Amino acid sequence: MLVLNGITAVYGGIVLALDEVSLAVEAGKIVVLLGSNGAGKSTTLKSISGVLRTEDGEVTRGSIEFEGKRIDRMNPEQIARLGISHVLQGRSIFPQLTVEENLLMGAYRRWDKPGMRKDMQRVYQIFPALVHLAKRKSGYLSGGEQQMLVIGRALMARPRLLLLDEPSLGLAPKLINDIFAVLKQISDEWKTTMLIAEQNAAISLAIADYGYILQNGRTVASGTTDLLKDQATVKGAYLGLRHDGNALSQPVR
Amino acid sequence: MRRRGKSRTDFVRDLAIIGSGRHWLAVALALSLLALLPFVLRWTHNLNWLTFLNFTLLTVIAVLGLNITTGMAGQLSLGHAAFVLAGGYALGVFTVKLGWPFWGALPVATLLSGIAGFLVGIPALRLRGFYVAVTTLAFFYIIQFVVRNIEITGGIHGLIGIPYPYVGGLAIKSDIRWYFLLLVFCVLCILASVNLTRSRLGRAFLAIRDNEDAAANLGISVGLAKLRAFFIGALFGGLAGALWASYVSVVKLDQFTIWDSIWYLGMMVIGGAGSTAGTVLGVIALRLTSQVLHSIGSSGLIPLSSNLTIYMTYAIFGIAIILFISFRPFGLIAMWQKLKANYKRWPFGT
Amino acid sequence: MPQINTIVQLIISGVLVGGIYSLIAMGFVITYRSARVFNLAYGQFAVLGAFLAWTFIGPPGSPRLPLPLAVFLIIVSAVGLGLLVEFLFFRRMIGRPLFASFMLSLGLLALLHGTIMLVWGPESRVLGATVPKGPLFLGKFVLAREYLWSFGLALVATLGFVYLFRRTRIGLAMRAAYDNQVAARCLGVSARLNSQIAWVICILVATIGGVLIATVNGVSIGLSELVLLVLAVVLVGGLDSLVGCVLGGLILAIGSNFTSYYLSQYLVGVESIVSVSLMLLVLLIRPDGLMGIKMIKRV
Repeated sequence: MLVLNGITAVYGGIVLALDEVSLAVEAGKIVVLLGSNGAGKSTTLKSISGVLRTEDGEVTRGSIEFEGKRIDRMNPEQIARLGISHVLQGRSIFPQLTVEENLLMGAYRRWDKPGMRKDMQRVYQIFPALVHLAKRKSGYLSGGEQQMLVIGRALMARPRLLLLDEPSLGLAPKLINDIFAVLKQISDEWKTTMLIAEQNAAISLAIADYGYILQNGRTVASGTTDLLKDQATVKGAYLGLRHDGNALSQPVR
Repeated sequence: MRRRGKSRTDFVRDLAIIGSGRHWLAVALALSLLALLPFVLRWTHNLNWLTFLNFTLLTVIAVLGLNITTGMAGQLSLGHAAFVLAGGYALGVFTVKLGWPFWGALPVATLLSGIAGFLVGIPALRLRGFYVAVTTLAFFYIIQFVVRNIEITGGIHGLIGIPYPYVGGLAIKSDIRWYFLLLVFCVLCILASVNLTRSRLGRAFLAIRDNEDAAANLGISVGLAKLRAFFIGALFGGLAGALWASYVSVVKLDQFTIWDSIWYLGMMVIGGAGSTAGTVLGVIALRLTSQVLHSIGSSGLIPLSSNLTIYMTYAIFGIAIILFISFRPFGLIAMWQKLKANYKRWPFGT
Repeated sequence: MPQINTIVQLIISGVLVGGIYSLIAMGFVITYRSARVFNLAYGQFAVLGAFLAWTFIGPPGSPRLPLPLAVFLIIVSAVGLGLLVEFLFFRRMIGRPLFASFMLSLGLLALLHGTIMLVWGPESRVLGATVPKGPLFLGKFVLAREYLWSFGLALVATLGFVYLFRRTRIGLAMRAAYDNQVAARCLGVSARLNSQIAWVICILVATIGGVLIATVNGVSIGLSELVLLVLAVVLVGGLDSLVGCVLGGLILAIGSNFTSYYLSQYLVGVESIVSVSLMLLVLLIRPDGLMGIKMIKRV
């Protein structure tokens, strides 16, 4: 469904953030992108969604294909229209809009009123905490509520590919479990494909089908989650301890 | 082998205004060229260009001030002409109405203008961005209003007969003498401005320009720094205005309009906001453009009335600002630096 | 009691004029919110609109074109101009720092000023019939018909804008993009479309405002001083609030009515200074204006 062919991403014409990263996401699967701070997880997602271009960055080499179509030269809004929904890092809600308006914004590209209403019901069902806050300005919600809202908003778009950037950031352990359970549930129910960037290896590998490990802007390992779980490299890459890459048992393909 | 590039070995040397022997040579050469310029003009019977040079020097001083307030400290000012106006009127009032000598009135006029800047800075303490810009604009109109309505400033007629200064018994009366006096002031102002960027305060300015919250978290007293930015910027403006008034010997309300504020901003941006050298370049570039247009208009080569020339100047300045902002946002100075870097690296890469 | 009558009269005409002020201010606020441009060239757009209107309508008594056709042409050229300005100048500013678009608008201010003067010259012109003119007597009070019409137009436009921003999908998207442009784009909101809509509205409103004011004061470059008034209205009301425009417009119009009535014989040019002084006063007390959005900051 989504293929990254050796992409190199550069910020401001100077800073190299990704160095020939390749990965593939199959339809209906949950794929997780692991790595420490600065490994290039966010940049990978931003290259896919086009947000990179709004931050003075660009993909200088390689290509990104979504369902056979090259998207690495498109604007974020064009990419969003193809059915890719990017949940940005750090709860990027619309603070002046109410919770309900935020959710409506999620469905900005949809015109099927009944379907939208149904999905809104479903989002409220998944996140019952949001029901009573519907008319509240979202800027006044707590961190956890905002994270739920952002995921709910992304679901309202009924994306075919959902990009999630650190959904666990700054949340209580209980809430992290809930959110990942919801993601798994949505993936089963709507067959939504997901690419999740995470630092929390344990919980994300628990729901994912496949994983990639990034280190210093490169893919250093990949494999099915069962395989990755067993390997010490996960721990190594996650903690950012190894800089050689020799010890990896499965080379990048 | 020729040395390419500078290798700095310690921080003090890195901060030095003039880094190397070759740099010294260049500065000395430039200064002597500037000193010789009027004689060359006299020799080639182009003395009317001296007036142009003098106004350019005055404008450089004024815009250097704006560059401190806006370019370095990031406090958008649409009212910089007000400080120039205040300096000019202060000098006029002290010399004409109160009979002070020029050299007594000049520092006081400059200081008064600085205090005016300080006052404008006070509302800016709680405001940000465009709100600051509009506050300074409002201040411009308030100063104009005050000047028009109090008696001591001569109302709408302004003040005439502002005396010229004496330097060691020498009356600074002719264009050529003014040129040297203004050149000295201008070089001093450039030095002060460059020195500011090397100081603790200059670094605080850059910090609040780039991120006010982060600067505050670093322990920079943002409010105080803003006030100082306005104060110092207005000092430069006031000095320019005071010299200006004495140079043309009159001061009137329509000498400094809101358009001057706009041109100052434009010159700063075209030269390269935040950079002293860029500011100087920008002033020269725009002043030269307008002078060339003016010469074409008055030469009769193309049938242009003086009004049409003025309107064309507006349009061309506008286009210049638009083009620079769109395609060269860091101004002439960045273009120059790129050129220099390319020259140094030649023939490797572009 | 003539005193009371004068006061009521001043308030009534203040409200009518305030309506026009608020309408014009809205064009500015919408550009700021949706295209993220602090558009200092706004006054020049009003002048341009007025001159275009004069070109189509002509001086009083000798209409060049039938009024409906002229109005149609004015609207078409304003919309076209909006799209053109967006395409030529401001499309490149999407995602650039606010200072860049601010300076660009200053450049545009100079360019338009020079161009308008080159094309139409500095002399003032009288604009032919657009809205009915003349006094309307209401008991003891006098209303100017042209102000009444302008007020009506302003009211309709205000309701239109409120509807646009509160009730439509595109309005919601514009508000969302003001909050968080990147997130809005990730949901498929087109930054370019927002910018286009904003510029069309901006120049349309500037043109309408320019024509309305020119109907009373004549067409000349002096109309561009309007931007000062707009800035005052906008900053009193709050840079990003439509309701603030209405409030700011009324406060400033009534305020300057009173000061010019009672003070102008003592102080030269006091009318022009009232609005900026009121603005400074409001800003000193409320830095975000009366109705401005206070950015929600949670740590």
